[in-house]
Amino acid sequence: MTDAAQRFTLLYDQHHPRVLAYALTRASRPVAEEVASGTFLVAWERLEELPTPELPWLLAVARNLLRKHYAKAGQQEATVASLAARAAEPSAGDVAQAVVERATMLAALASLPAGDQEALTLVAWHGLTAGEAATVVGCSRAAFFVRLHRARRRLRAAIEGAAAPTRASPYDPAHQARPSGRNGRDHQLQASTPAKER
Amino acid sequence: MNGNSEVMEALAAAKPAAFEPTAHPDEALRARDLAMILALPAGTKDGAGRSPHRAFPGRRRLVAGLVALAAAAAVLAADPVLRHDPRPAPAAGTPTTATGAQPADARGFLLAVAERAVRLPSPSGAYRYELVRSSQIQTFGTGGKMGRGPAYTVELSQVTRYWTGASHLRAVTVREAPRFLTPKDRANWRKAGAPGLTLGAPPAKLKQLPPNLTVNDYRGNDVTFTVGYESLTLGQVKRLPADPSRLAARLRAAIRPAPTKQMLFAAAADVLGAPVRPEVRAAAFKVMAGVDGAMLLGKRAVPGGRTGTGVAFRERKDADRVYVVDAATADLLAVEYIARNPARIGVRVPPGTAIQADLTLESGWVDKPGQQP
Repeated sequence: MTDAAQRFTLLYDQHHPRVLAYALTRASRPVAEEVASGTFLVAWERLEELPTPELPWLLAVARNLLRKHYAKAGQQEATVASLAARAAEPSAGDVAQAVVERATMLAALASLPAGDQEALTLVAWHGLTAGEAATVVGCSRAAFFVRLHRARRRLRAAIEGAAAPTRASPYDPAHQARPSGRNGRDHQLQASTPAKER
Repeated sequence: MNGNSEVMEALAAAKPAAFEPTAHPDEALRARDLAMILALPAGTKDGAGRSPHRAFPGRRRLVAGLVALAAAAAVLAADPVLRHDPRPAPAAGTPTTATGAQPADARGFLLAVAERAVRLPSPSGAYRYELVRSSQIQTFGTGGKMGRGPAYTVELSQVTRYWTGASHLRAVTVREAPRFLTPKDRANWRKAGAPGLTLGAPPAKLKQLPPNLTVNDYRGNDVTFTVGYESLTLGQVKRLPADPSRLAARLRAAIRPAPTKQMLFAAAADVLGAPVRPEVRAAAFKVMAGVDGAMLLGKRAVPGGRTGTGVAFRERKDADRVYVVDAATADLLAVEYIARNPARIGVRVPPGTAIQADLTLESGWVDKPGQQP
């Protein structure tokens, strides 16, 4: 194996689970897997130019691929919260209180604009710093801070109003995005680099 | 819940377990991705910062007489290509004839492979897996259909993984970045406006390029295989006769627009790319053996590392088509179109260059699409 192949394999082993996990918060599993594959294909093509740390750059590529996928499929992008609501079906072992708290939080998250959901989950779920998350969404660190601050404020307000019985449950089908992914026949992804990398 | 950090902690706690990254990549995905990606050269972006790969056209095509370059009548003449490949001693795995002798000509070799084809063990999985690299070298900017100058020569290619099952075909195609033959070719391409380049299409605006990673799933009658000039469904493929005479008659019908012996040979080679019974594969080799004009080249390395036995067919005065067969597995490893007189074909490469090729780099049987042997 060449040095480049060894380096790439290491990169893949280190980051693929997190890239796939990120894609799964934005798309169905078949699409997410193809997006993760496409992301590492781009990384291989740009191996000599990868910044350090690599993860924010990889997530930015994955984010672009997801956008192109939805644009090509003519579908509205699935939001983090809508997919989380589907992924968070309670299991038999879950404590009732925890189920309620999670449902409340996801309902609050679902009530926010997609940009807020993205900013919040990049930090809270994907463990990125504000600077790394700024790389993913393609803005300055300062701009991301402002966005995150506002998103947190709106989330808190949404949680505080969540006790109202009229608020929809995250399991309400109306809160779920349209099914995403392939149409069963042609599923195409355009691999691309983050706009700022071009 | 008052503090910002408290909100973020509560949000983190609400993260569904399904979104947690696994400790290690999924093994099957990892094997698929690494095999697909590492098959490409690293750092393959072109000067425009893009990797203009091409979408698979959607139908299985195993070369043969379908390249636009191929046409005209065959004329046998002196052969610079064969001089590049002096006939060596038979390679390991070269079959013997029924009498135990090494085949001395293409006919004997192909008949021996036909015998071998029916003795091979049964498939060990539900899907036939193949990794195929298709490429073509073209010179653009020479006027007419090739566009205005300055002229540049470039190899365009794509890599496709096929999983072929009883009623399902998955094709995952990655377009490779264009490879300019010299720095001057790249410079001329830039002077021409750096148009987007993709296999099987004229230079285009970058926006018009198809995706560089394409996944196509075909089922039932949507799964087709090109044999001669026909697209056969899986059902039609399964009904191909195992009797060599009847198969030859069926293939003649499939090449009716250009019923030359070269096309008959090529159509029989097409059958080897389809999921047919061993008896039909054997019949296809027998049809090939029955066509006059094939020449045995001996051991021949296929780009990518595999080695087989070459059989050449003079397709026209200026070019040969070379079929590389793995005698041990009765697989068709490669079909290459070799330019004997590239200038007359309109491609600026040295004589003897393979200007079009379909290479089967890997093959085997697996249980599910996505797996690799």
